[in-house]
Amino acid sequence: MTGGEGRVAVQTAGARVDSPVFVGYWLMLSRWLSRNRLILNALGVVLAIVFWDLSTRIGLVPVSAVSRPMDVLDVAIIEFERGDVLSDLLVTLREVWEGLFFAIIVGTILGLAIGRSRDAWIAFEWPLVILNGLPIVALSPVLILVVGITIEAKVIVSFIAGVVPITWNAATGSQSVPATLIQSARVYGCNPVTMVTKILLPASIPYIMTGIRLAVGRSLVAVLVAELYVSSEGLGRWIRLAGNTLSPDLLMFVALLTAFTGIVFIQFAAFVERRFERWKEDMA
Amino acid sequence: MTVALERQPSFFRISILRMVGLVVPIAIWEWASQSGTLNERLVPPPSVVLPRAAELMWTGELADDLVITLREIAIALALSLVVGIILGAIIGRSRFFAGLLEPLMWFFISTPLIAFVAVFVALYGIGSTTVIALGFLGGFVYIAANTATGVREVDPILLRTGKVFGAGRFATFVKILVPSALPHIVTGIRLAIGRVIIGVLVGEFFASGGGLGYQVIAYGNFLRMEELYAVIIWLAIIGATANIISTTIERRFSAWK
Repeated sequence: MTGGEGRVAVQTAGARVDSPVFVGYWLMLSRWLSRNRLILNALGVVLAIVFWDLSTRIGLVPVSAVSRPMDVLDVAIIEFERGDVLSDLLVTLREVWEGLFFAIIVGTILGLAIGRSRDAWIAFEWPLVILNGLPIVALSPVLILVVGITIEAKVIVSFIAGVVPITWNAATGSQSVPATLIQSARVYGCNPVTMVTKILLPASIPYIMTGIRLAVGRSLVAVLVAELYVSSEGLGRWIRLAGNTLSPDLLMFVALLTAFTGIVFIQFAAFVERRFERWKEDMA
Repeated sequence: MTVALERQPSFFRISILRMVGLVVPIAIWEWASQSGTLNERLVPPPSVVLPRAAELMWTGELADDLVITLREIAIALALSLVVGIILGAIIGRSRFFAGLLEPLMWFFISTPLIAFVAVFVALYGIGSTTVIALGFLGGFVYIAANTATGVREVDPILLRTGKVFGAGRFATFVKILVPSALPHIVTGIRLAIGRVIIGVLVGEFFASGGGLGYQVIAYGNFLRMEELYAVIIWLAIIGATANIISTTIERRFSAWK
């Protein structure tokens, strides 16, 4: 393929011999970085922090709102030594986890049952679509009012937020089990229990993992909303507290801690999900 | 769906089953509330709540809030779309920027934005700007991620053809990248809508003076449970409608692929 002036058009743009020296070095550097993704990721984080600091210094955003990296670090060190925020973090995680635990069990059973029965699927498809579309966070304040300001209320919030995506994905998963697999199991005289434990469940696990990944994020947000609404324990209480006291350092520390928690949990769930993704190909 | 369906069930049977699926849960709710299994003051029966939901909209008590919420969702979604597509095209075309911005993408995909509510209130005050910002930050990353996937899958022959005919950066973007990536972008929009709605609601809960989310908190504070459930029903209608529309559009476009 020829470009202008009879030169061969290089598909990767740039790195031409006639480019100015500094551009050339820049291109070489960016090429090298492109091959070393981890270094590039770290560079991205560093640049984001530098941008955060600089934007407060040049007056792009007020320091009274977003604080500065070093100040947040100071607060972080103090708070980690005192341990208050950390114990509240553990409360939040416990609420999310306990709700998710029941959501996984109930959602899997419900999903497999609904997905495998043609009539049940027709009957419950619409309610599931509605529940899936309903922003579950809206239920957080309601449940707090109905159940009370207890840890149990937040566990229920977490359960309800988590059970919908898991049920939905378990149902689609159980429908995608190859018919040949089920028929051959039947031919070999597989009883219903073995059918579920050896065929349906393993074959649906990649889908259930997708549901769990979605559920982790939704449960966390729903619990945080509930805690922010009213609570005496949990991370949400700190978000409210820091907002009310207008202390930007504490505010950013709590926000970043929450963000970090979310990133760790959701990325972990996504990692597990990818591991199971291979099962889909093995079955096909 | 690869379920071995021997025979399609009759239309009559499907209608009956669908009715059962919708009516039975409502009937259980009605019974639980009437019989006192659930506290009727905290969980009023649907026979009270559903008419109330319609009434609030007719009398206009909720109509303004509905408009506010829909407007905020629309603006946040439009912003997500513009920023998401441009960012996605950059990330999809350049491995350098993909690596550089990857942590940022992770951050916005996984962060419960609610944690930053107070930061936004400090920045923009209480009102629509904060609400829209939260909706936008929740949504744009899904459009960016999916656009990037779509752009990476663009047929290289198309790109080279464009180059031969002297297409510049902008023309390549508008005439080749975006149309080819459109099915992926539509998937991104479907995912983004849910997140935008959550972001807008959370914003309205804690940083607004109007909108359906604001009313959830306002009615909740006065323990006006009938009205509270009525708002939730409208939110469910918005969510389900958005879900159904976007899924239908997505199906259209995936046939395109």
